[in-house]
Amino acid sequence: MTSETGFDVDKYDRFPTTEPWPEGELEQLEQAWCGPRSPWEWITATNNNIIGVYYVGAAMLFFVLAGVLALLMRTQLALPMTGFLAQDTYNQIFTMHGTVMMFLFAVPAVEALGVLLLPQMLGARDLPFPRLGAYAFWAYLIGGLAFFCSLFFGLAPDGGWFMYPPLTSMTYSPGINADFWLLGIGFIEISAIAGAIEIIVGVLKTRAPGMTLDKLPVFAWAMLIFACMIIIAFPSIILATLLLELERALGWPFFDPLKGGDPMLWQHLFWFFGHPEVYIIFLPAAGAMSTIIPAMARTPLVGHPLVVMAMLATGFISFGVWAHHMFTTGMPQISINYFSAASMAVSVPAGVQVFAWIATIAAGRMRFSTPGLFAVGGVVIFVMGGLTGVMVAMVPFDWQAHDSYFIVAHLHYVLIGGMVFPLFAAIYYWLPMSSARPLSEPWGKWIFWLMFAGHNLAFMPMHLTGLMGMPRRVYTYLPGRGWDLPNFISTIGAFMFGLAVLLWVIDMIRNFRPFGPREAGNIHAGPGLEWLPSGFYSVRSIPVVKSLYPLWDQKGLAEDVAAGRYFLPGAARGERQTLVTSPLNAEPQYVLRIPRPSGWHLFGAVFTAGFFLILTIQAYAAAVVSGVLAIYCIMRWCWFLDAPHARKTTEIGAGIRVPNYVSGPFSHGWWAMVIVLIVGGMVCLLAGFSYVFLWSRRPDLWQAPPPISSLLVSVGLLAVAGVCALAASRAVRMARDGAVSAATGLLVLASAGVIAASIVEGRAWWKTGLQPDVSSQGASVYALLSWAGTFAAIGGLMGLYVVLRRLFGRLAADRPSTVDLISLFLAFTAAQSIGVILLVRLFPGSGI
Amino acid sequence: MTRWLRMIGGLLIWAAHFIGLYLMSSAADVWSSSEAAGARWMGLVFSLGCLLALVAMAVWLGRGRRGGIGPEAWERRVGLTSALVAGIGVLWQTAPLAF
Amino acid sequence: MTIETPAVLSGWPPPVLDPAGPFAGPVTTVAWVLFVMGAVVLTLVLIALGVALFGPPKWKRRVAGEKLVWIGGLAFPVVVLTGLLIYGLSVTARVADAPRPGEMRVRVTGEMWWWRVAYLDDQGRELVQDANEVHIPAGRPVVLELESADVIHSVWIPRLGGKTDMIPGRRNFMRLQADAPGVYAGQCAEYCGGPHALMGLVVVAHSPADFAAWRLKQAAPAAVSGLPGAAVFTASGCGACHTIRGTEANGLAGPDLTHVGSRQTLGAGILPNNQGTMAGWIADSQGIKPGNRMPSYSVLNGQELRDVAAYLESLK
Repeated sequence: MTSETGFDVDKYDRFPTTEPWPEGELEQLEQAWCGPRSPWEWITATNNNIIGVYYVGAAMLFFVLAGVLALLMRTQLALPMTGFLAQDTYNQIFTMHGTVMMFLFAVPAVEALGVLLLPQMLGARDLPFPRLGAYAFWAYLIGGLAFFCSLFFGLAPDGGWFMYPPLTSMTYSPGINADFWLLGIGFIEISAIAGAIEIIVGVLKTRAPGMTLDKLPVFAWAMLIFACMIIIAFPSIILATLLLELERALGWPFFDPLKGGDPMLWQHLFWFFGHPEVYIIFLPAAGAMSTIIPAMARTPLVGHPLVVMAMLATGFISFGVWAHHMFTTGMPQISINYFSAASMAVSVPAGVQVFAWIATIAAGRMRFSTPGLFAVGGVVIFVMGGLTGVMVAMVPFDWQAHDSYFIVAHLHYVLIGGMVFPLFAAIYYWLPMSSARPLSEPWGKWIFWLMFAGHNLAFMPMHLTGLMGMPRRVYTYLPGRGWDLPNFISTIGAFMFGLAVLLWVIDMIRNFRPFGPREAGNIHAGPGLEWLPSGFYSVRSIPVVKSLYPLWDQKGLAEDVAAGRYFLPGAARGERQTLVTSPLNAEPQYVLRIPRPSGWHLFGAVFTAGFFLILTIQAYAAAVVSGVLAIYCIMRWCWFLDAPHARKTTEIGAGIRVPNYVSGPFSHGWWAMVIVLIVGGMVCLLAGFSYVFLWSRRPDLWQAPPPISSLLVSVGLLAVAGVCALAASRAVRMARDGAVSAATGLLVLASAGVIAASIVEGRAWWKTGLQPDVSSQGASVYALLSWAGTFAAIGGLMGLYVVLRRLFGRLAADRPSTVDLISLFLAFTAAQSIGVILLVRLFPGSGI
Repeated sequence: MTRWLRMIGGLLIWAAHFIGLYLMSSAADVWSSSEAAGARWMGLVFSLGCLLALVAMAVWLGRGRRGGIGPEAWERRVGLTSALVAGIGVLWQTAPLAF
Repeated sequence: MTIETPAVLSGWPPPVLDPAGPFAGPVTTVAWVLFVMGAVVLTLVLIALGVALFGPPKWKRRVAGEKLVWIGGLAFPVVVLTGLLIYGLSVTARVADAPRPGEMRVRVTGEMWWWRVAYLDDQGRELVQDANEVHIPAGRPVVLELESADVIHSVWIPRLGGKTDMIPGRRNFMRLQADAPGVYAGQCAEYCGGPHALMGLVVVAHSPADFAAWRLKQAAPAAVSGLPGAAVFTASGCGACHTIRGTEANGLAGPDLTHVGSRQTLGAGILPNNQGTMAGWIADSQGIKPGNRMPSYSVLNGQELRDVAAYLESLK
């Protein structure tokens, strides 16, 4: 195997080491990673072992809350015309059930599993950006709870979880209910993207040495693909929510047909996010199944490369099926058929995984403890859901089933079978890693059977009611249509399911004891690194990995790790550290210093959530204040980044030394910035698509762009800005006096350039008389310019930041990361602005 | 980079095929009709191109050390099988051009 | 008042499986093929799973290798799905033909929460207005031109075919055909807020002779009426929202009432049509269908309600 970084892999043979390690090393490690000792430390903690538990807890809280909403809905629908809930109450409740389940439970739950499990599973001490993860969590929790409380004020959104305009436009939804959804989803989007950054960099850069891609745990593969899907799919919903909010608040007509907009644009943008969203939810759960089933069957996963391939294929193909939610909208036949074909294709990898699981069960000796029950039950339900999925992938059948209870049945079978049951399997399987006591096995069996029976009783009859003509999202139905009995049975099933969840909650209260001195441990004899003995520091030493099933194949690994015979057994200089390794072969590259908690990320989260929520209730001044405070807190948090190191290198074990600081494309910070820019670029790309789409609908509305002279000015400014930004990166590295100041100056020039270009371009368009609230051209042109302009404004903040750092002496030629990252951002901003300006100026050309 | 490309190259070709067909039919809709014969033939030629690219991908992947163990051989397996699934997707996506 | 469901809304046998026209029949066949396919595949998977969990060692060994993944996960699905895809594409082509020249056209516009119906002539001009019911001749395809006046709605008459959305700013076409005369019920299938649940639609298919007669009658204005209810109707200002051709009432905000007495249902497919339900609707439409755009006329006393209901029922 060719080395990826030049590291000599023969050095792995030096491990496990045999020399005794220095006195007090373990105590130093424990001291560096000590757990919280006061309430303040509990809420500002950043350790993934703590945040992970909070995160899973919050997700399950929302699961229970949205489940209660479901029980209210089923009570209303148990009988025709019950009048148990008023019509608009029901409409808010069903919208919130879907929204909370999809945004506040499903994605956060699997992300939480990743936060909790990935570092240990990979042999790392923590995630690479712990404060970012904590920030994401608190913004999600605070924002999510406030969003849920809108129900108690009758202000919850009531347009369905996909909120189609024009129903959700100002005309037909005049209250702030829809704004709660649009702005409420805002912090969820931020949370998800922050989590995705952590996971991508964590899985690719912080693995234990020797953990090549073929030894990467399947769950980690799943989380990697999940995170990559988030950064491609979430920009679509970010854009959609921005556009609808602009339409509602300022009258910019993206979806309003009277001024050239098109409701179909929302559907395209929403479902380009919405369909991958459900696979985003499914893949980590499938990864969990691919981990739990081999563990429960005590045998390796059959067809491992096929399973990984299947997850990769699902990740890609799921982006090609979005319009199967739009088969009835009158789209051209041939386009619809492409989506039908791709929808068939996406079911193939799912089948591969199911049969891999069955083969694994057959190859081993399956244990019927609760995790195994939930895993097998999940497979059965998921297969049924997948089969109805193939049915609705067939266009003519979908034309009957779409928007009926048949679809409600289908979606619950795939989501509950493909995500909820695996999640419960995961909870039962991994809980002993975090809790002093495992959950009760006898209770677990009751909970499983109640849930399995309750699910089928609730959702099987819905296939029939759909075929009987019952549409979705109905707050009631007329008697005597034959819908009464199936609905009543569904309600009974729903309550059985609810009872199972209640029992689970009670058992959690009885048995879940986290953060204690010891955990229940590896009671299922699982093979993964997460089962190594651990503390708040996760693993005592980072092992050399030689197998996909290290605890089964590497004899004595647990003992050797606990005795500190591998990498990084201590905490040099009292610092929290983990090892950064190369993405393909996991060869050691450098040591990542993990920051200690401080309060700034928490305050930043509070003010971020506050900004969105206060904006919703239209207290604009207060919202601005909250926003400014959020920016301040984030900048203060960034202030601690890129700090000097006492030493240049650290010995990580057996005489191997690696740097403490790396800049450029190998560094984790660089990767994080690149991911952020991909997100930004995707939003811009989709906004460009929206512009072209709206033009294609109403080319008659398009008027001429500004004269070419202003184009030269803006593009010229941007080109100069881009060059300055890139030059700053080279400048800061020069071993000359004033290099750092030169770099700072170049960055300031670059940020001034992008801001100036934005202003020039905005004014040029305004002079043509184009207005954003009059036509779809105006709306989309100004939306694109505003997006580019926002990046320019952030670039301005970054210019200010780098000046401050220069003044306070926090920039150095041997620590170029700050300059690098800001230079990346500004260069991207310039390029993005150029792209936007060229698109709106040159397409479709003047005077068409 | 090459190792990543090996693993997901087939799927990238699938993605290009899907995006290409969708863009072509959307453009055709604006200018005339996506059902028109000309648009269909363009789609067919494009699909053939993508299939050939997939075959080329499979050949490139197969040319590695035969039956090896170790990470690179595993990555080739993933790449070959994902190219197979991508090929199935491309074939199915071509079918609508005939209806 | 207690809701009495119109008889036409019966749900058994399930309308999707009880086709009444050539745009629904092939889809029902597809449905059955899919159900059988699903049952067979599920059985096979459950058998494999059962063997894996509980089978004797020799059987388990058969199921334990990568071969199962290749056959069960790749080869078998690819064969089945290829067949289904081709089948599906051909049925789609069959039931989704574009409208042909010379086919009768009816423009249906979705409103919150009722249906505006207009029968068009060859040039696309509106000949006759109606509401909440679409009359078609049996045995011939009819083209529905679907538009929306406000938000997205969807027309779904399951016994006659799949659904098509009504999207503001767009015009969609839906071909419908009933093989035999009869009454076919449907419901709005895209959430449109408020009482979306109570937005029903009725399609009435006539034999060709009957249809011609119905057309003539429908085109005629209402006969002059000496009933006391007519005066109540005028005095209450109903004409501001409703049209009764042949009288002064010419409002366009609500359904056309020129021949409301001959409709199968009231309130957009949710009440049977008789004097009692008519009076009940006028008195308390908000109680029956909360949020609908017609206010409850509780100011009218019992006698006035009976009179106006009798008048409206006379408009056959």
